[in-house]
Order: sequence, then structure tokens, then C-alpha cells
Amino acid sequence: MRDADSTIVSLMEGAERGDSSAADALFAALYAELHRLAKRELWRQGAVVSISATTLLHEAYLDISARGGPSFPDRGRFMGYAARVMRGLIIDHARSRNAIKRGGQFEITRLGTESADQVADERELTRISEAVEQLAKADPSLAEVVDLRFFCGFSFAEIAAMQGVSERTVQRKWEKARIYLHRSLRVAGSL
Amino acid sequence: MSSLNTDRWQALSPYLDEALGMTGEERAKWLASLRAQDPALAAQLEALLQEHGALAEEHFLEQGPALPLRVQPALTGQTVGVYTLVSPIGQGGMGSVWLARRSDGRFERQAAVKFVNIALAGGAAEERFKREGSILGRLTHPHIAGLLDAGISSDGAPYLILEYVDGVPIDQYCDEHKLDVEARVKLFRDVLGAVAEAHAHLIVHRDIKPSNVLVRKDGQVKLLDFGIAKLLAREGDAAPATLLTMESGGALTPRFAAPEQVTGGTVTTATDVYALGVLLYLLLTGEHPAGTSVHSPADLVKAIVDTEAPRASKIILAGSTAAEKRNVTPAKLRRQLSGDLDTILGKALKKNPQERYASVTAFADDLRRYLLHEAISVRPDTFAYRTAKFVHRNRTAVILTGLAFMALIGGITGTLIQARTARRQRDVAFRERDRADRIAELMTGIFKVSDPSERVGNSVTAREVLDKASTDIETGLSKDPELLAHMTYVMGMAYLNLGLYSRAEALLDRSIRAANSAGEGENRETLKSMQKLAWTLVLEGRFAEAESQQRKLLDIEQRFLGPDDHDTVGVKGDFATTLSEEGHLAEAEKLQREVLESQKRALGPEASFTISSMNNLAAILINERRFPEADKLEREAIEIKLRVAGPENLSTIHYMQTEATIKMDMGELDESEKSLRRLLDLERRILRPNQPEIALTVYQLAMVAAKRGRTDEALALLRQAIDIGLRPADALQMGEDPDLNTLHGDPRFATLVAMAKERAAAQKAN
Repeated sequence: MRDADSTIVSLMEGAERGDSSAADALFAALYAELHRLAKRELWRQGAVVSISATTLLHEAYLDISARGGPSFPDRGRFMGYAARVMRGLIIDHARSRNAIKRGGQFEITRLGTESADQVADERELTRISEAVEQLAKADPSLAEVVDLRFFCGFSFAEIAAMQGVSERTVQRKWEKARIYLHRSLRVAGSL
Repeated sequence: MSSLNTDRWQALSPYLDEALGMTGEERAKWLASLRAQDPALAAQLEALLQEHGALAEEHFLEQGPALPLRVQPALTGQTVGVYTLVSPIGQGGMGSVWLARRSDGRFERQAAVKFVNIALAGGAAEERFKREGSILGRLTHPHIAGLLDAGISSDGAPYLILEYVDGVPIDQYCDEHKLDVEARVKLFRDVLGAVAEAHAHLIVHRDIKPSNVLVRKDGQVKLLDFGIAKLLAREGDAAPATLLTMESGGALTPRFAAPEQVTGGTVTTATDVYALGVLLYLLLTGEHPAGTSVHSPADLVKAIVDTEAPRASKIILAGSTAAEKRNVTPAKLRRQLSGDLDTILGKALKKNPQERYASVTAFADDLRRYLLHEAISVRPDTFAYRTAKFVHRNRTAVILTGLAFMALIGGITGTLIQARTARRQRDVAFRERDRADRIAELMTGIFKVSDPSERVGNSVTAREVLDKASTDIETGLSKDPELLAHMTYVMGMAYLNLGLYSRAEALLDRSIRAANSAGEGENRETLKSMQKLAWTLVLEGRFAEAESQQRKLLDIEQRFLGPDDHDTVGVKGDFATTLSEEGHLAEAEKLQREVLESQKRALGPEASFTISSMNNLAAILINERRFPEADKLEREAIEIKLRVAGPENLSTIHYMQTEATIKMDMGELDESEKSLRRLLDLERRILRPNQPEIALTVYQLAMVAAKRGRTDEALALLRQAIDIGLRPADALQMGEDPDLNTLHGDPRFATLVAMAKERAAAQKAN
């Protein structure tokens, strides 16, 4: 695990150069990290705990940057990758939601409610995720905003601060992304 | 309409950017001109923009799917080292404890796995944790439950693996078996033997109490958690505040703590001697040496520090149930305890560590002699040693402890303004809020029965009760404006105390209007409503409005009640605060001094209103950057409060926090840090573990660290403050706090600010 941490920096650099195996390895390393952090909360508290996706990402950044040292990339870049990984984690857990509960099983619910019928539909989430992947090819920065906003619950202000742009810019990206996603989901869903 | 391929999207994208920044009218014009140039492009854009218009109605993607992640507690079957978790045994602030079975198949063995709720920052801390663990692991003794291993789980959670003991606490065991005095003393000597062995290895237990001294079915004594308090505390030495993350304030059990633990003195083997004295006293008499009249942690701390325990024999009264559990009559038990046992207990329970038995072995020797009816080593003393000596020797510590007592009972009256920033200003509201919460809790109980959702396990929150009552009140009391005025005032105050300002404002306003329609416009209660309404505006930061209302009110009160009336003076004090916040410092100071003088005359120099005004004046002086004067005044306020209010008042914690801030402002960072650490120590022992005062003190320590440029430490402290639970007001302004400006630009700080905001939002949502 420690080895993976120290290479997250170089994997991010590799991924940015377009090295697809580095991108895969980065995804795996971050996935493991987020999973580990969620589970750590479980060990510590020994009871049902609720942690939000944003908290998990904040924790991940603090932990990894503490180990990564001064060369660690900026928060905006990190969060961009980590939010994409978070989307994967959320969908995987939505998928296994009905599987037999094993230790460390996550259950994903909507904010502010415990009611099972409001749990986001796994197929719906998968379709959104696929559309986001498609969007990432057309306009990666829009896809990143969707990951941060929709899947991870960051506010426009937080995203703006992370990326060093104005809140208006983030909002505009979000609206464009919504147009794109709405169009592709409508077509795909044959509405 | 088809899906968008990448090329088409990239072509449309800049136009969308442009269009989304326009108003409807601009957009129509823009589209019209575009249509003239490129009708196909314009049509596509128009379709997309129309689709966009519909998104808002659909709430498309507005609700995220994934907050929060819910983690199930099913750890059963997971492995930690060579152990497999079987079932949870217990859970506390310190972490969770699991029964585990050795899973490498080599031999069958049970163990207890304790997950420790501390944050280990970085590899060095983990190494130290493991190393300390291995030192403790070498401590083996038949009466000590061994530490088998210490490590970090693959998920990063620190754990301890301990010998599993299936037994009951020693006091319970003795009572269940109706052991007589001699049998109890014999069993207790096994405990002493175990502790002596540990002391020979220079390991101090620090937390001896019945639940850590178990007796198995076969009658074998086993001491648990040897040295673990220290193991965890060591972490704290290296990164001083790490210990804070133990939520319970966990390492220490105040009921069995020695005076030096309570006052922040040095912990030595004598500390264990004291705790053993308490344990023996309990085993012999059935009572804690501090007596049964101890109702609050403050009483307890007071008892530990300065109340000499009554002789054990003296507390056995006729009809004592303790005697029956020791298989004797009360009179006989009294005789058995008087003499040597009284003397031995007195020696172990000395307030001054140096006057106790020099070692656990010496303690055990005297008990051996007692059992053999030989002369013991200690001469009975007259119990004349009262606290004078101890107090003399530990003056600072005692004063600090006294301050902490004060923290407990927060009788707050009048308006108390803390210091320079809004952070401290809001203390008043928050302090009263606890009380409002309690009252509202009571109300909840009343409303509970009639609520159908109660049956499905939903609890009604205090807030809901208030909301319901405040809507009912208008219809129910519309015919009785006088009562309506009164009730809306009460409800308005409840909201104010809960920090729900806009609702407070509405109700207080309603109260004033109702009073006016009842012809009660200028009675005292109505004026009070007006004062509170203006105060609500101050708390909301609406100073200009508050100022104008307070000016009017002050004028009315001066005419109707007279300039020296208590209420008039109160309004004047509020007004001074508003002026200070608006930056009219000279006028604020002048008024506040008048308020103070008038209170000194009317109420006396030691009344709580007077002391509160001293503190308020100090706050204005801080704003004027006249720190030495503020410092002098604040210290005077603390001194008087300590003397007159007795050691039980929460205001003092706040005064102390202000005092530490003044020191910080004066550049006395060492002094400030020192007093904050002492304050923190006391707060952590005496307040609830998540009380916001504790978070604020940690936050202040972060300010000191930030000012010194110790960025990592400051960030670690801030994180702890967030974990402990900052007040929303403090959390929300963290990002803009000028005292943390050396951290600005650090991405970790930005992350912490975001976390703090998130917690604050969650707290508000609750």
C-alpha cells in the first residue's frame, strides 16, 4: 500500500501524458485508497458510520499529501482524478448493494434520508456514468465538474477554489455538461 | 434529434458558452443574427438551449446519488494479524473492542482486539506505536492481562491485541461472593503484586479502576490495559494534540484519578498508589472516598484535589448494606476498619504524592503486616493535613483546576460579550443554547405521546416541537394578546438560545406587536422583548439596525425607568457592544465604563453582571489594541470570578480563552500556548468530550502554531478541532480568520476549510 502511495504522483504524471496503463494503475491505487479510508472509519468506530463522499476525498487528499511530500500535485488535479474514482466506487457499491453483506460493505443512500426506495437506482447511475465517460472524450473538463458536483457533492464554490477558476465558470461548465448528458441519456434511454 | 458526437459538440461548445452567459433577451437577438449567418448552427443551438430550459424543471442531476456512504458494522470474520474477529465486546470513546480467535491454526487462543481511536500521523508515529507496544508486550505476570501485539491494520487503524479475560470487575466479584474484609485484603494484595511487577519495569498503569481489575471464575485477578494510557499519551508527547482525538478524553477515569492527574502534575508510580488506595477504600467500604454526594465531575475533581477522604471506618453507618455484603454487622465492620486499615488507606490516599507509600511494595507490606497482626509501618496521623499544604505547593495547578470547576455550571445572566471577533461574541448565545436544548428536550417528552411517527421510531427534535408550538400559538392565543405577547417572548428567547435568529426575530417582533395591541407597549417585559430583538440583530451582524433600535430603546428606558435602572444599564451595555462592532471604539469604551461603574455601585464589584461587564470592556480594549490594559482587566475578572462564584462557572473558561488570545496579541506566544494547554487539559477532563469549548481551545492552539510558522502542527490541530466539533460560526469563518493567515495558500488548509464547512452544514441540518 505504501508503495502505491509514493507512486501516485508519478502515475498522475503518466496519466496526464496519455499513458493508459498509468491511468489504469492510478485508478486502482486511488480506488484502494478510498476504500481503505472508508474502512478505517469502520474499524475505528466499530459501528455504523456515515461518511460523505466529500469527506472521504478530503481525507484521502490529506493522507496522501502527507505521505507524498512537497512534490505532491495540487489539490485540484488530485480531486479531479479522485472524483472520477469515487464515481466508480459509488457505482460498484450500488451494484453490490443487494449482495450478501460482508464486512466493510458500503451502502449508499441519498443525503438526508434513510429510506430504501430513494436509494439511487444502480442502472440509472450506470447510464449516467457511461454518458459521463462519453462526455470525458468530448470535453474532459466538463466531465470532471460532473464527477465533483454530482457524484461527490462538492459545491460550485469548492470546485471553483480547487480549480482556481471563477464560480461562474464552474456553473457554466455544469450547465453545458447537463445539456450534453441530458441529450445523450434521452437518446440512449429512447424516451 | 440525435446524440452529440464529439466533433459536433466541440463545434457547438464555444457558442454555448456565449449563450449561457446571456439574458433571455440578449440571447434572442444573438440567435437571430446567428440565424442569418448559419441557419443550421442556430437551429441546433436553439434546440439545445430549449432543452436546457427544461432541465431546471426536471431537476436533472440536481440530487447527487452518493451522500453519505453508510458502512455496516459487520467486521465479524475479518482478520487482524493472526486473529479472526468473533464478536464485539465493547465500544467506547477510545475505540471498539472485539473478541478474537487465533486463526493461524497452530493453537487455539482467544484474545481481545482493541481498535484505538487515535490518528497516527505518518510513518514515524506508527513506528513508535508499534515499538511502545512491543515494550509493553514484554511485561508478563500471572495477574496481568498481557499485551500480545500492537499494530496497524491493513486499513490503517491502530490496534492492540490483548489477552482475553473472562471475568467480572473486582468490586462486583467481592460483593457477589460476600467476601469478608480479610479475603478482600488478600485478593487486593494480588493486585498490588501485579502493579509492583509493572513498576519494576518502569511501567505505570495510570488508570486503575474496578473495570480494569477483573476476577475470573477461578478467583484469579487480572489487571487489564497496563500502560496503555501511556502508550497513547506518548503519541501526544510527540505530536502534542494527537491524544485529543481520543474522543472520550478516554485515557483517564476521573473517579479514580489522583490529584496530580487532575491538576496536570507529573504522573509517577505514586499515582498508581493513590488509585490503588481508592480501589481498596471502595472494596472495604463500598463507597468512593469522595463520598456519595458527588453529583458532577466538578464536585469530583474538587473532592479529589482538596477534600480529605473521611476515614473508612467513619462512613459505615448502622444499617449499612456494605456490612451485609462483607458478611458482618455494621458495628463489626467499623471495628475491623478502624485502626490499621484506616491508617493504611490514609497513607495511600495522601493528596501529596510524596507523602504516600513510597512504593506499591511498601503498601503491600503493610497489608501483609495487618493480616499477620503485626505493627504496620505508618503511624496513624491526626488527619490534620488538610489541603493547605497541597494548595500551597501546587498553587497554579489548583487555581487552574478551580477555573475548570467553574466551567461546569454556566449560570449566565445578562449580556456577556467575549472578545475581538464574532467567534467569541457568539458564546453568549451558545451558552444559553444548552439550557434551551434541555428545556426543549423536556417539551419533546410532552409532545412525544401524541406524535404518530414516534411509533415507528422517529424521534421528534426539539426544533420540531418549537416549530409546532410557534405555529400553534398564534391561532390558540389570538384572543389573548397579553398572553400571546408573553408566550411569543418565551418562544422567541428559546429560538434565540438555539441560535435560530430569524425565527427569534419574528417571534420577538410578534410579541412586541401583541403587547402594543394589548396596551402594554411600555411595560418592562415589552421593553425586554425590544432589547432581545435588538440583540438578535447584533448576533446576526446587522449592527446598523441594532444601533438604531438600541438608541431608541435606551432613550425610552432612561425616561421611564431612569438612567440607573438595571434594565437601562443592560441596554446600555448591549449598545456599547454594537458600537464596538461598528468600530466606534471610543464611544463604546466610554459607555461600557459607565455601565461598569453603575453596576459596581448598584450591584457591587463582585456581582456576575459586573464581572461580565469587565470582560466586555476588556473586549473593547482588545479592539482598540490596548492589550496590556485588556490583559490587566481580564485577569482581574478571572480572579474575582474565581473567588466569588466558587469554582463552578462556565464563563471562566471563556474568560480564560479570551485571556489566552490577549497574550497571543501581545506576542507572548509561549505564555499563551502554555495557558491554552493547561486549559485544554482541564477542559478535556471536565467537559463533555465534544463540547465546543474544547474545539475552540484546540483552534486557539492552532492559531499560536500558525503564528509561529509551524504549519504542519497548525494544520494537525485544526483538523482535531474540526473532529472535536467546532461551532458552526467558528467553522464557517475559519477560511477568513486573520490569525491563520500564514496558512493561506496551503492546499491542505483549503481542504480543512472545506471539511469544516461541511461539518457545519451537517450540524445545521441536524
